[in-house]
Parts: sequence; C-alpha cells; structure tokens
Amino acid sequence: MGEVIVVTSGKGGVGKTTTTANIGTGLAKLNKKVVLIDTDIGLRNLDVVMGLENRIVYNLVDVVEGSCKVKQAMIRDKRYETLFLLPAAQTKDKTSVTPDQMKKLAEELKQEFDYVIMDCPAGIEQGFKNAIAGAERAIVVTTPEVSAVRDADRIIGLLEANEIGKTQLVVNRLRPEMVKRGDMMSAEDVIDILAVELLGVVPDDESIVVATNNGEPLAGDSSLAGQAYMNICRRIMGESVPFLNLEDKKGFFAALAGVFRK
Amino acid sequence: MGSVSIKGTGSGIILELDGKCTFEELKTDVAGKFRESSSFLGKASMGLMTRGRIMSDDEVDEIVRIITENSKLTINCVLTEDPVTDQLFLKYQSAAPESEVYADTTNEITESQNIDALIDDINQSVAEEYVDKKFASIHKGSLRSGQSISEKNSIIIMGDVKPGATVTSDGNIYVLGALRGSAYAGADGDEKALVFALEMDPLQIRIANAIAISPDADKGPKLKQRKFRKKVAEKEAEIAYILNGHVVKDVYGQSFMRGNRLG
Repeated sequence: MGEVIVVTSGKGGVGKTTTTANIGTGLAKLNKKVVLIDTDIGLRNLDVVMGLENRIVYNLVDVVEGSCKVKQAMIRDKRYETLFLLPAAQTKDKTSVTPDQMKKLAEELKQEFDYVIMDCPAGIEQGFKNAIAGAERAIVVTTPEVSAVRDADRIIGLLEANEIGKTQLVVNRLRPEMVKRGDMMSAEDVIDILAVELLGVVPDDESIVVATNNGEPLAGDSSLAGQAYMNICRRIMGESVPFLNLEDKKGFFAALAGVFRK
Repeated sequence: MGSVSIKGTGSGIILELDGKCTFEELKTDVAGKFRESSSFLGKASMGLMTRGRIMSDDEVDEIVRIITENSKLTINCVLTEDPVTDQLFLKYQSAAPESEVYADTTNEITESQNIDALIDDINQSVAEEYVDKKFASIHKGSLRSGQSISEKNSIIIMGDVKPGATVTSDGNIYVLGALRGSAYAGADGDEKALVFALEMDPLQIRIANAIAISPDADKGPKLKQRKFRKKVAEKEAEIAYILNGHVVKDVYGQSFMRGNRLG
C-alpha cells in the first residue's frame, strides 16, 4: 500500500512542478514505484519538465470520465522504468474533475505504487481542492521571500483544516551568499515563521533551469540541487539524512562557486 | 365536400386533401366530414397523416384544431406527406440498402419512434451532402496551447499550431504555418488522410490509428529549439501520411508528387 503526497505552495512560480518532477525522479532512482499526477488542468507543465509532452495520448480528465483506462493514460518515463506520469488535460479546466473523483483515483493508484505524487496548481480554488482530496501527506514548497512564505502559511492552515496528516516544508531557491549578507531569510527563519517540519533546502542553481529546459529532472546528479533533491527523497522514505545547516553552508558556498567556475 | 377524404389504417387516419382548392374551403370540408363521421370514428386517440397538399405548420395546427372540435378524436401526432422529403428519403435508402428497417414507413407510419428515426435519417442524408472531407474549413489565426479545433471536414489553418494545441479532422489537415502542437487527421479511421505543414515540427501526429511522436523527444524542448534555429535557412514544407501502417513524413516537392500519394 503506497502513500499519496501532494506538492503545493499557494503562490505560483516557487517550484512546485520542478520539485514534483525531481522528487519523482529521485524516488524512482531509489527503486520506488512512483506515479506523478499533474492536477493543473488547463495549464499543464509537468509533462514538459519531464520531457514527455509528445507522448500524451490520454489524460487525467479522460481517466476520471472513464473514456480510457488509467493504464492507458500513464506515460512511462524515458529514463526510469518505475516512474510514471499521468498528465493533465490542456483543453479543459479545473472543474472537469471533482475532489471525489481524485480521491477514488488516488485510492486506486496507491494499491499499485509506492508513491502517488500530486502536482498541485497555484491558488486555493477547485484545482487545489482536487489535488489535496486524496492526499495523506503534503509537501509545501516555498522560497525565502515574504510573499511566498505568507501564502505557504495560508496553505498550511488549509491543509490542517482538511486534516492532511503530515505537512513538511521544502525551502526552494535559497541563495546562501545572500543569507550570509543578511539580505535573505534563512531556512531557519522560514521554519520559525511557519512552524512546520523541514524536509529540505534546495539552493538556487543554474543547472535546474538547464534540466527543466531539457526535460530531464536532475535529482541524483552531481549538481548541488540534484543532491539536495536526493536528500529530500531519502527523508520522504523515512531515512534520517543530515541537513545542510549553517556550518555546512561554507562548504556549500564554496561548492556553489565551484559550479559557477565550470 | 369533395376536397377531403378520410382513410383509416391500423393506428390512425390518413387525410387525403385537395391540393388546389383554397384553405378556407378545405377547412369547411374537413369540419363537415369529421362532424358527419364523428359517431362512426368514436372516441379515440390516434395519429394523423395528411397527403396531397403541402401545408404550413400553422395550417396543420388549424386542421388538427378543427378535427378535435368536430369529433371526439384526440390527435397525438401529425405526419405530412411531402414528395420532396420522400424523394430524399428514397435516395438515401437506395444508397444504403441494408437499412431496410424503415422500408414501409412511407406508406404506413405505425409508431412515433419510427417517425423520429425517419426524420433523423432524412436530416442525416441532407447533412452528408454538406460534410465532406473534400471540403475544408478554414481557420484564420494561430492556435495556442489549450486551444483545439475538431471538424468532420478537412481543415486549413492560416497560422501556427503551437505546442499544447490540437487539430482534429476526419479528413486532411493543412497548416499554412508551423505545426508544433498535435494534429490528428483521418480521425474516423481514414488511412488516406494527410497532414501538411509549411514547417513540420509537431509534438505528435496521428493519422487514423497510427501515432508518431517527434523524433527529438529524448533531447527535450530546448535542444529542439536550438536545432531549429540552425535549420531555419533550409526549412521546407513537409507532408505526413501513412506508409505500410506507419506515419512517415516527406518533403512536399517534386519527388513526393511523382509518388502519386495524393490519390
């Protein structure tokens, strides 16, 4: 019996889709059977980030409407045998699916997969309600900016109200040199405000942009962000992996400079 | 009285009307005839068929009103025999001889569901003359992500089809611009359907039951774009069709036309 996880943020553009793609890739790399569901109907992106856009024949709306079987709509990843994508429809909107239908779908998929990961759209409307309907666990993505943190706080409140069991935080796009100068909130500052468990910190990394554009998530490669995502995956599986704390950030910073020197 | 005669059938009455007299005369005659035979016809509900005269809907309503006023009958459906529609129906029947289910309905309409089916058939045969893959619908302007067009006719798009946009046709698809989204030609299973584009760079092409995805799939969208920039100078119109069950694409030029694939 698998676990259903929703990746959400409230604010747009903080990296939900990138995080979903990388967590999926990382877990598949750790030999878990994973299905990623894009619930952003009408503005789908996950397929593009995964580089699977051209393989879409059926989508989420076809599945819930019963015009195809779940198996027909799932796209196997290019690189990992155990990773699948259930893409969103592009020509429909969020109201094409109801929370009840999503719940049923999640129940069905978790029989077969170790992890069912929902990529939530921005906002707190129908799309959000659909995405969290079947979830047992939530990963809230935020960047160290006041606006994103404010929205994350709202989202955490909504998740609690909807009785999502466990909520963890990913602080994305952190720039250690700015934190050091005192120009940016640190992960600790964000945790102080939001009062939730920290799942991981992902540094701002150029290689993320390259990986996204190439349609090949970088979880597990040699880049800093790739390693950060891999650590997040291990923590999701229950392993205890040390955090990149303040002391590490020197090495972290040096390594980052090393990346730029390439 | 001579302008009207009544015939009974199993489940209704056929009213033979004079096509030449005035409607006023006809009304008086109908009223007289039904008043006369009211006791014979008794109290019943039945269908009415008129024959020999083409009447407007209002005129038909008037006739029905007169009948109910002058007898104890209730008319629950009216069928007007119309030689033009008849001929269309017969033409459709001879084109599709296997559909003989409704063969007798022109003479004796027994059930209202038969009437509905008959009307549907006639509408269909009329509509078929206007929907033909030989004709094309023209769409002016580009299709962006999330937009889609679906037609039974062939489709001409004067603009680009962007990634995430979909064009579906039972016939051919001609993109007078760049095809970067998805095109689905021959959606009713026609393997002779074609997809034509001035710039062929689709995510996916489907013709009948065959699907082809872009060959650059593994390199991702960015590399694809770079490659495309290099190629700008040498871009040519291309055409996709089915060859031995697979979707293939070919430069649209002399060699393609000599191959006589346009049928």
